[in-house]
Amino acid sequence: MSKFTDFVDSLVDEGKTLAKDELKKLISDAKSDQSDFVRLQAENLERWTIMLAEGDLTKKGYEKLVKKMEVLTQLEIIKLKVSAKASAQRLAEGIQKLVIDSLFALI
Amino acid sequence: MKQFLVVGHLRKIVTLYIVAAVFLLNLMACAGIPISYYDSTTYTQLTSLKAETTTLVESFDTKSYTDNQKKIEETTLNIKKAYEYEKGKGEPNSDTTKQFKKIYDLFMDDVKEYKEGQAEELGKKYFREAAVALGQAFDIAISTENLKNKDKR
Repeated sequence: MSKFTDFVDSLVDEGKTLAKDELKKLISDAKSDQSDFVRLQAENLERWTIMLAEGDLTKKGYEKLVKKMEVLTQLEIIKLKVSAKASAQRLAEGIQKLVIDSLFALI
Repeated sequence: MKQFLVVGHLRKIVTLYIVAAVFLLNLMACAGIPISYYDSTTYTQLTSLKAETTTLVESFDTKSYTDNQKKIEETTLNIKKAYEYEKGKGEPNSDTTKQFKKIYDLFMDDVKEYKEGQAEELGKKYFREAAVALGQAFDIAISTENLKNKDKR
């Protein structure tokens, strides 16, 4: 058992508000995701949870760090958008150069 | 009769080419891809600011605000200058400008907590981890810049 699962299992949750197994599965799946970004965020969350358990972070510090993950996700979304735009730009420039400038000059 | 058929055939071919050309030009115009090209200055600023800001934020766990005040002012100015440079490139660069703004806000949030003496309320290793997150934010912006096409004109 990892420190992360130990900590999650040790939480007293009489109201059953935390789906412990789902949380553990979420992190476990994310850590083996194909995306580097998703894997990195899962590692962040796991490390910060362990630090919370060991007293290196307070509840407030933990919450603030988790909120930073939202910003990182927004940055990643912009990156994916730029990647798609750059591909479209390469296609448009290829059409201009190879089809309109070169091919049309020959026919 | 044969002459009419040849002329008719040629007219069809010319019309086809014109339609194809118009279609392709429309396709490009509609795409209107608003994206800036790769900029080595942006890349250098991002890598340099990553080192500068993360080293500074890491030190918040151990150094006093007074000790860091001058460095914070210098670094804040450097990020603002870089942001203005990106903003100056206009709409095609709006994605990178947005990323800079978000990174600037992350940094300023850390500075605010530090200035207000919140270190104890956040945990003894909070700023070390905040610096990790800030570094990851820069990494995303750096790889975004690397995804852009080189201007071949």
